[in-house]
Parts: sequence; structure tokens; C-alpha cells
Amino acid sequence: MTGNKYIIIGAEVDQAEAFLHDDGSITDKKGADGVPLNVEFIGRLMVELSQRGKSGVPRAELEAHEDRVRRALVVQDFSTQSGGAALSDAEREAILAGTTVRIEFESRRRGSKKPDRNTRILVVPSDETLAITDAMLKAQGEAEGFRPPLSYELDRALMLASMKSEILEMVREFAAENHPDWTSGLQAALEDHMEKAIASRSQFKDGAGQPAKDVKNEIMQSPLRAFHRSVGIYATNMCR
Amino acid sequence: MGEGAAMDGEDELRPDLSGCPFGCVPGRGHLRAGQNRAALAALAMAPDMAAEASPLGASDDRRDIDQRKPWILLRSDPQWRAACLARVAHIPSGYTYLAQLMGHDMGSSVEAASVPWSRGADDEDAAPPVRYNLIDNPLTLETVYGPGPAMLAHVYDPETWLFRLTPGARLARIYARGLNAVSDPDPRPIRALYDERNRDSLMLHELVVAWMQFHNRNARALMAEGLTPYRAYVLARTHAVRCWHRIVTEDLLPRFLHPEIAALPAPPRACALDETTLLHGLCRAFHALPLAAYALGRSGLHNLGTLLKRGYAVSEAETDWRIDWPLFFGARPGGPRSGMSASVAPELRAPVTAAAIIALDTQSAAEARPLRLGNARIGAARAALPGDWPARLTAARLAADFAAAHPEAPVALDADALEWGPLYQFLMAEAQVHGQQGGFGPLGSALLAASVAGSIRRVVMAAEGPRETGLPRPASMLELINLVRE
Repeated sequence: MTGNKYIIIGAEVDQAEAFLHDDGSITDKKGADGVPLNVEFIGRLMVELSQRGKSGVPRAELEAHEDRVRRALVVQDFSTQSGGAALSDAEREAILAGTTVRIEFESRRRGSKKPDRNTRILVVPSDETLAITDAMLKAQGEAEGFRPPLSYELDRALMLASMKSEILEMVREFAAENHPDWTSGLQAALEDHMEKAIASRSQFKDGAGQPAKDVKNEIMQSPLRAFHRSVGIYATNMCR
Repeated sequence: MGEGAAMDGEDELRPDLSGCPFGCVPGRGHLRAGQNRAALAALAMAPDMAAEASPLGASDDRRDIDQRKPWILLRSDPQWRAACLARVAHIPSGYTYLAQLMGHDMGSSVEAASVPWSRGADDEDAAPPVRYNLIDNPLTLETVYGPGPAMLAHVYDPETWLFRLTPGARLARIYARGLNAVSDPDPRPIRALYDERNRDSLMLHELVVAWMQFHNRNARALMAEGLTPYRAYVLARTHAVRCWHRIVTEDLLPRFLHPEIAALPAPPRACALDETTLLHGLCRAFHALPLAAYALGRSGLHNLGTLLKRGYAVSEAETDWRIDWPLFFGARPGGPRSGMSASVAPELRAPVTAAAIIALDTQSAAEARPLRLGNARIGAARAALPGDWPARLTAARLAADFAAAHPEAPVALDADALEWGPLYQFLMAEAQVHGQQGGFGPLGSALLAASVAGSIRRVVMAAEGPRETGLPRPASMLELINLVRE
């Protein structure tokens, strides 16, 4: 249908386009009970299914899950890299409507006398899904300091927050260098600034600069939810 | 003590001189001297487009009075910012970036000493200016077109004279080195954009590319009628500039003008400023508009910092996010809104980020020595305002009105700070007290309207011919974006 370069990925936590309601319906409105269908949803589902195992999930339920995961996907085009035109909303919807999701279970058979038997399933993405980023990074060549592949804005904030103590340690190391013009007052001011700067960059804001009521700030506070998001990303976004 | 010494000697201003991330002040070098453009009149291509001399780049004649710092902007706190926005956030945020595009098309102010330049034959004896404007022809979309296809092979296709752009693309093309053994090892990509300042934010980048798409769409239509690429370029460009003037005056300015100024048959001529003064004295007030974060619609909520250009590599914003323009221009409800006030987004202030825009604005204003409220020239502009505004807009009266209206302000504004601080500070405080629906107060509105009207009057271009009459004439920026994305 289109000649565009695009990939199909799980929606980032704040970019869900569909919501699962208590009655099992899926709509594009969150409403009072809507659960956003996004990478966190996918990751949480994967964790649950992994615990239950293939035998614990009836086929009909699995198909319902597959449809929910399909609705948690979005189409991202690579018009920026290709120089091509962006996909229209209608094209995106048509692509998603024609997308099928299949959930597979890996298996582990434990042998009492023989070695365990494991099946690992590697999913090879279709078409140019990996080729686009591969070409882009090849063209980039070598670099010193770059955004780690498969990481996003929220990962950067999570990493920065997690490295706060280490960064402050680096700043304190400077005090030990005993520069003649350096004072304890300046050192304290610098440490205070760094602490504020890290805190500011580790928070998602509203227009006025106050902490936003946003799912990304919730993830910043919850290692478990961050884990679910990461599982969802690795399950669906490994191509980005 | 001179101004420069006063700026250098004080405490918390240590601006990042690598440049304003909003592109207002370039990183290196740092307004074209007020040029005498009278000679241009002789080149006028149509009698109805006669050029006139630009107002002189009047410089501050009270350099004996030190520039006061805009403490209300430098020391505003989150509560003050939130209170300001709660009062003024009526203007859809798309206009923040459309205003930035207008500012970029007005000028790029650099230190005159940083670039060799040539003065006109008739002003050889004039005192050398402090600033130089790298934009030669304000409000001609020079920030988009540059000097044109013959001199910018990386921006234009040399065969078709079209912008190197794929129809429908929302961002500029990137050219990276090839993968063969003989290619240049420089890994940094090159974008097919003339003015790198226009990549400062995802919002501005998309707006500029929409103008490039508009040109290509029109030029293609003209070539389809049998015109040569050169002729199609010339007519499409002139048409784009006409549409630009319409969008500036009918779409952008009405959002910011005080109703009493907008209702005048014409803004007072005494309020017309040269581009240098406009940039340093008024346009910096637009720094009240950026929000700390934007909900982009489908692309989620993002802090301003992640939407701004950082370096030359392709950013996550450029690869993954897009602007929902109907939301940003208020055609759909729920989009981000802002307005003029005596506050700026925390991201633009010291010390939370190194950007420290206001410190940079203040320093560049001090260097450029543009007019301040206390100067006789601005006094004359104020005196030309309608009704009792001249009396209400003295520094002392505004300080008192501001204090009465905003006792919660983090910094008390006194008459001296308003009189001899940068003009933009006065205009932001005026907007806070007297602005309507997020716009400027009467003085800011009159200065803006008269100056823009003057810049447009000075543009010389060919009279419209029959070929262009069939081309689309969008009445708003959103209409133009929708047109090029059909």
C-alpha cells in the first residue's frame, strides 16, 4: 500500500491510542476505567503470562490478549531519516488494521536425570524494521557519547536520576583537588546547583514548570512499573 | 561605570555565550547597522511597492545611566510563573513559534566587529554601529530562502530550483556521508536548511519546512504551466512573501495586539522601530511565551529541553515526535496556550540550566545599546499612544499599578528598573498589567505593529502578475500547513 519506511512498535507509556475498559471493550477514550494499552501493559502481560505458562492460558484468552497487544501498537514512520513523506492518519490506521499479533511461549522442560531442555524464540522483525536503524548508525560511524540505541527520553531521565549520587560524588571529587581560588562556599553552591539540575531534568513538567500529572512521572517513582515498561519495550520496540 | 563593566561585575549572570537555544542570538560573532536603504527606492520594481529608508538604528543616548537588570525575570519562581500563566495563557502555543519565525526573519543580531561588512556610499561618515544584522532583507522570508538557489546548492536542487524536500515531509532532509571508502569521514549530517537557527525546536523546524513545502508546491504548479525553473522560483518566492505578510498581519499580530491599538486605522508612525531595536528591545519579550513542557497530542508530553536542538545529531524529537498543529493553533480544544507576562519558563533562566536566556538577552541588549523606556525616542512613541495611555504608561505609574495588582510578585518593580532596564522588561510588565487575552499592552502593541508595518512597507518586490493569481493564499499558518500536507 505504501512505499514508506516504517516500523510497528509498542506505544510509549504516554502515547497510548487505545484503552481497555472493565467490560473488556477497547476504545480510544480513557474514561474513568480505561487502562492505557502501551508498552507497560504489554510488559505486565508478559510477566503474568510467563508465570502462568502456556498450559495455564486458555486459547480463547490468549487470542483476547493478542488483540489487546495489537491495539497497544503504533506505527512510526522514518520519514526523517528517509527524507520521505510522513504517513497519514488513515495510512497508519490501515497498517494497524492489517497487523496480526501472535504471542508465543518459550518452553523449559526440566529433566531429572538429563539436562534441561529450553526453547528460546528469537523474533526476526520483518522487512526493513531493523535495517533503518542499522543504516543510520552505520552512517553515523564512530562517536564518543551518544544516545544508547533502544533508549528513549524516559530512559534517559531514569538513568540520570539513578546516577545522581555518582554525579554528586564527581562534583565532590573536585573539592579534593584543592584549587587555590576554590572556596567551600562555591563548592556547596555547585553541589546544590547540580542536585537541583538533576532533579529538574529527572521530572516531567506541566506548561508552568510544575511536576506534571503524567504517567512518566509515575514510572519515575516505581521500579516495578519501569520494569514492566522495559519488558514491553524489549518485546516490541527492539527495532527502534 | 560603563554598562559592560556593570554587566560583568555582578554576581549570578554568567550567560552561556554559545547562543540562545531559541536562536535569538547566534553563538559566534554576535545586527546589521541601520542601513540607509534610500537607494533601494530607485530599484523599486513596482510603483506601489516603493521602498523607504529604514528607521535609523537609534542607539541609547543615555549610556551614562547603567542598564538595570530585569530581576523580575531572573528571579521569578515557579509560583510566580504559574500565577502569570493562569492569568495570561490564552494564545495557542503555535503562535509562540510563528512569532519566533518572524523574529528570525527580522534579523540575526551579531557584534558588528565579528563580521566584515560594507556600509552604504552615503553613510561612510556615520559612527560605526555596535551590532550588525545578518538578515539583509527583513520580512522577505530570507530566513527560509537565504540568497537563493544559485548560492545554496545544499538547500536547493540545482536543476529544478526547488527546495530539496520530499512532498509531504515535515522536516528538512538530512544528508549524511556515504558508506563507500572514499567518502568524507565527517559523520555529522547536513540538513537542507538555510538558517540553522530554524532547527532550534521541533516546532519551529516544522513551521519552516511548511513554508519550504508551500514554495515547492507553487513552483511545481507554475512549472507545470510551462514556466522555467528560474521563473517559477521567482514568482513562487514573491507569492510566498505576500502570503507571509498576510499571515503576519492577519493571523499572528492580532493575537498579540491590544484592542485599542488594533482598532487604530494605522499604528502611530512614531512607534516604528528599526529592526535592531525591535529585536533587542521588544522581541526578547516573546521569551515569556515558551512553556516548560508541551503536550504534543499523539506524541505525548515532553519537557521543553528535549524539544530543543542539542547538537547536530538527529534527536529523538526529530525521529519520534510530531506536532499536532490543529491542537497547537487552537483549532482543536485542549492544546497548550501561553501569553505575555513578566515571567519566563524556568528553562530560560539561570541557574537551573546553562541556557540562561534572559541573562544572555540582557547582556546582548547592553552591548547593542538599544533604546530603553527612558530614552527620548521611546518617550515620543509613548506620547503618540491614543487616549490617556501616555500618562498611564510612565515608569512610575506602571510600577505602582504593577505592585497594586501583583503584591505576590517575587521582585518589587520600581520605576528606575522599568525606566532604565531593558525595554522588553517594561513591555512584559505592561502586558502583565494592561494586556488583553495574553497579548501586549498598548505601548508594546504599538511598537510591534508600527515596526512590522514599517518592515513590510520597506520590502520591494515585483507587482503581482496573472500567473500568481491562481496560487493558493492561505489566511493563516494552520491553513498553510494543512494545504502542504494534503
